[in-house]
Amino acid sequence: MPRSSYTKSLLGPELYQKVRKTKILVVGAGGIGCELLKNLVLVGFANIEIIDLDTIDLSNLNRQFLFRKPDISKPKALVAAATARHFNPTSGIDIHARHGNVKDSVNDLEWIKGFGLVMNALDNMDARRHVNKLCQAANVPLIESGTAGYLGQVTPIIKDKTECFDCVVKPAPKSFPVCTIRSTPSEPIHCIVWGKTYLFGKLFGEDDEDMDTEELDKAKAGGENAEEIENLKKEAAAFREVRKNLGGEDGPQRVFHKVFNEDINRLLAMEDMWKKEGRVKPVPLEYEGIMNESFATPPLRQAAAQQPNVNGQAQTNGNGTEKKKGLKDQRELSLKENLELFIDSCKRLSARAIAYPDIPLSFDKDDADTLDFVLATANLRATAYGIANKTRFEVKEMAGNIIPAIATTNAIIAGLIVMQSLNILRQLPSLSSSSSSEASTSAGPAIRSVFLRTDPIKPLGHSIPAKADPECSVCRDVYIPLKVDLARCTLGTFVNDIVKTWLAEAEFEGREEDDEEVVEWTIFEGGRLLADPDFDDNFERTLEDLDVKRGKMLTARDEDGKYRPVHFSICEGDSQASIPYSLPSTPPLIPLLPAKPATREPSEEITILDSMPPATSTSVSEVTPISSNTAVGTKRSAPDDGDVKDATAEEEQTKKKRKVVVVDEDDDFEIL
Amino acid sequence: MPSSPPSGSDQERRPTKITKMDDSIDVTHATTGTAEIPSYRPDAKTRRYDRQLRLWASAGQRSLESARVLLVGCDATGCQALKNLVLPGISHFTILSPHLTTSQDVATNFFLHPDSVGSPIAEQSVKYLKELNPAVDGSPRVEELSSLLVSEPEFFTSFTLILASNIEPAFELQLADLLWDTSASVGGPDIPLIAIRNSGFIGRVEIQLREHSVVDTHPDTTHTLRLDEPFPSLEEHARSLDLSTMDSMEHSHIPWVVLLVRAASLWKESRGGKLPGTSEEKARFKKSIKEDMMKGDEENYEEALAQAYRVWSKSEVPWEIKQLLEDESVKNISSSSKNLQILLHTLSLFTSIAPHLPPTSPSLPDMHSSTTSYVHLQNLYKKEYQTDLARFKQLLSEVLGNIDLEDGTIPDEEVEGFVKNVGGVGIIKGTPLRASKEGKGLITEQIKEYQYDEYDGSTTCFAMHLALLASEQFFIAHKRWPGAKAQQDMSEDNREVEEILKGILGKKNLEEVDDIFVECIAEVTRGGFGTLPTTAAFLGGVVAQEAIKLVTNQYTPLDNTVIVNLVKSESAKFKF
Ligand SMILES: [Zn+2]
Repeated sequence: MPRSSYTKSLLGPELYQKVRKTKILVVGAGGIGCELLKNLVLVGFANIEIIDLDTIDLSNLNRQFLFRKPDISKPKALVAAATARHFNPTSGIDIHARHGNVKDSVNDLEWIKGFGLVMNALDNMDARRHVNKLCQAANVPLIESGTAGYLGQVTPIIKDKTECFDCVVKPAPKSFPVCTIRSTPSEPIHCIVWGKTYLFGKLFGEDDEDMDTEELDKAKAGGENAEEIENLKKEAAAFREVRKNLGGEDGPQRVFHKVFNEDINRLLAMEDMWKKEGRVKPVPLEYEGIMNESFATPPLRQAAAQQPNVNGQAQTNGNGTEKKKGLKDQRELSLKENLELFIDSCKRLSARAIAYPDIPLSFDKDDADTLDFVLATANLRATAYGIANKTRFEVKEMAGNIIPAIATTNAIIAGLIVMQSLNILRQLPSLSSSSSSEASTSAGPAIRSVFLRTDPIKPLGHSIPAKADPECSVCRDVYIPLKVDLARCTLGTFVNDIVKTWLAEAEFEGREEDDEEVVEWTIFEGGRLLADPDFDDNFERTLEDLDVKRGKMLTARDEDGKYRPVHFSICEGDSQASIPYSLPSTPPLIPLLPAKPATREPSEEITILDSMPPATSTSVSEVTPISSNTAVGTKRSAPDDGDVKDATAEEEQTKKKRKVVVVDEDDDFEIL
Repeated sequence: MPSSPPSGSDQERRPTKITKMDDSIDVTHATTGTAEIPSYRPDAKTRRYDRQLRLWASAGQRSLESARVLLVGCDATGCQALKNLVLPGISHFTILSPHLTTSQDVATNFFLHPDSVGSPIAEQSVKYLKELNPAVDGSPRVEELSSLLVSEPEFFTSFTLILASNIEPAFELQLADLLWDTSASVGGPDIPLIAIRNSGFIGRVEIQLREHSVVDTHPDTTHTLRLDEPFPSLEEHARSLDLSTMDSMEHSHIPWVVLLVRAASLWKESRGGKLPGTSEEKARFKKSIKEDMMKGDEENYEEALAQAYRVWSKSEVPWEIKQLLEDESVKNISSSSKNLQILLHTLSLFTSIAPHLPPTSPSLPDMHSSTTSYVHLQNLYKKEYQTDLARFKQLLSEVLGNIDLEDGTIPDEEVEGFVKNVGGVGIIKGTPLRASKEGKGLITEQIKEYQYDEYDGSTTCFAMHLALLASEQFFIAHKRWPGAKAQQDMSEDNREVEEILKGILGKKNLEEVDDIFVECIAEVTRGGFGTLPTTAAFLGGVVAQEAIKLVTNQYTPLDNTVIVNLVKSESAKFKF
């Protein structure tokens, strides 16, 4: 019996046909993604691709209902698809699951063009913006969504009809002055940020001397205390020394002594620094004294300063009373316990660093070793500075910038996404070849942005999506798919044949028929300048040689800033064809830039949303995709939940080769 | 630390080769020996629930973990709602349904398998729902609701909460009556009923509860911070500042609370103790703050100007709470009163004594300030809170004594929570489902004032509700839903529903109803009272959300009728 006969009759044959035929991409198989996949399958969507780079963690199971405990550490996308298929085995539904990053080079413009509709079920800004840009470039409708606690929203994004994700400026991440973090913390959060972004990186992360120096020079130029900055530079050099010996038996103890005793003593020597109002001198910590409990804990500065909550949700913890009761991770540790935890977590992390020397470790709130380290570090530092300690539960929330997530909100939002997808499909041209596409787009209800609120009177709010911002540099620019054999196409060919010849045939907004104007173009790849009218040194080199990769863009910018930039999206080319590239048959229309230069060029920096809640699913890491369905396991979880590490010897090999660049996307604290 | 790490070189302790073993042992850890789980590490349960604990805290989680939920009617919407309750970890659920699974059920309900066809649907769905969370217990009850209502009413009253998903209208009312009557008896359990009705894109959730207390409504507007009536130490501190001798750094870091207290105090001093009242005075007050700014961009001053309205919003018990204090159950308490009623009674005594203000809250909002000034200010509030708390506890112990209850009957945790968050408590008095459906009182008034507005979704939602009510009456008369006979012309049924709706509207036979009602009837009957998967997903989320609010006593539940029109992604709430 046709399983969806009821849905079919309610949607009508035409819309149902679109539901069956339209190829859907779901980005993210987390909280929203699981709900969404289930809804899509039940409504009758029959051609679905789902991609997620994350693996399943115990803390997902309170809402990501396609996963069970034995699935922990397995790839989310694959398990989600398998469970969804299990419940609907005979319905002719094709779910293509991929364990990988949507930002991988294979996911290029041609790939995204293969979809009729894209649905984001992501939890981070970076991937959201990436998919937004891809969809704008390929002119594929996108439904953006997110939840935070009881709140959620669904936003359709359609090129030329609505604003895009980047039309709206997103709030900047919370930032702290570098000296507050490095020398003069006064709040628990300062100590946590220091442990997470500074000390952790220094000991276990990628050692980036240049970036460190640059950051400090920037701070100095920005008017921060010069002596302090010089001091910090010395400190950084000393770290390299300590790091070398980290694996030794007394390595962690030496780190402790350096960080919590020597460095603090050096800071204390700078008398001027402690004369400023509100500054409290730290007390150096002593290993032996703490271990034999003879060390006198420095007094707290005045009373415990309550940390203003991090993300607006923290009040509900009811901290005060809960610490005393029950939950293990809501108990405060003693100074000695913190020190032991510091030593132990250092040992654990350095063992991992030794085992996988090619994979720099990075902080991940669900990786128990890294969280232990940050917890112990932050509390030891807080103790030295007379700042109140925090519990593991609190540190996890503050360091991981955890957004509360529950099943109900995800269920509601995923229901709304599918409702909006039906509205969008109704307006798309019909897929059936017989009828003319004009006639078959039925009006139906308008496309809307929908908000879920805690308002007890009107739980749903909605709005007609705004028009695109004419200054937006993401959705107003020109995108052109360029299928190219990178090994054969030189930059010279690109500039001369494609930009100077093919693009010159384009229609330029506002240009008269007989206008002889010649536009001069500068060529960029990301932030790299490859060529300009006076710079042709690279012309003989192939694009491959210039490290231009599939999935990237070559951008042609008008020297005079009169016209919109044109982005050539690099897609896989034909290595057999005589000409190493192929282009659309007709050149585009190139619009004028608005009179005012766009000031909101979106930065490459990752920012975290406050106003629009990030969703709950995947965390982005730039991990080379692996196609096997075995676990990835660069994380290590706490030992008490029955985690399974499912890995074969073969995969061990893969692991060693892979290079993890960024693991946790929730890294949101920027140090100025 | 109770367990110290075993010795040995790091390399030995951390294996690099990991093999799969049974699914309950973490191999990585197993090799480190038999060390206990360190005390600072959360257990598996806490980690599973981590993301939700941050929303409703462990007090909410405890309530949830002792909740027993009954689902009557085993359809897609009901099972989606249960899914959202099993995942966060209720104690137990039962599904009551006499039916065998059909292939149509399998098509819409995710918690069935094609192999389920022919087996009791309650058994099948329990099986699949239980897979979601091993900590949750579930059992089927394969029986008719109607006979069980008669033969075993105590079955229903053994639950914390009951969901009724698309059950026959007459039985829905019988179930509601049973629960309402049970809660009427002294000490009887007050079991909320959430009734779901959906048809195609249209859905409705009705909640029946007799009396529900909310311990934390999580209100948007925080307390007044006593800017208008500062406690002595606060006023003293604000007045002691010498703005003229401060350097610009210090000046730009005075917390806005202090700036406002100071300005208000000075204002009152020069105007016979009165605060700004007229809009002219308010403008002048703000101007006086602006004049103190040293340069144009002092953020703390900007904040003070933005928050100035708080100076003329009076520090007092919030209006909603005042209403509660007037309630008989609060005025006249006894040893069988609920904790919240006793606390409110005590609050009433507390505010009857000068300065007639609610207890000071210890929490301060985030503000632009130096740490030192912030902490100092915070300490002032904390100290005042401690004083008020001690005074409240003193009164409470007298109150408890008067009703022959022991000191400590109400846990300290609860007392402190109440005193900290006086504005965030609530008591909701519900209506019987039968009364709200049968159009006694409020619904009639709503009809009188009704005016269709195409831009206001709530007017369509109200018309949808009437179409649903009329359809339910149709069902009671015909034992089937309008439009359910596939071959038959829908318009005949629709006309009959229209007639019933006319009756609800109080119109005479010859009068026409507005087009909007005809359209809503058509939309509702078009759905054939079947369940669309997206509607089920959406309603399942809404219902579970309400269930969690009810079980945890946090947030204000939707009292008592919500209509959702998913054609337009609109919703509206009514109290009938
Ligand atoms: Zn845009």
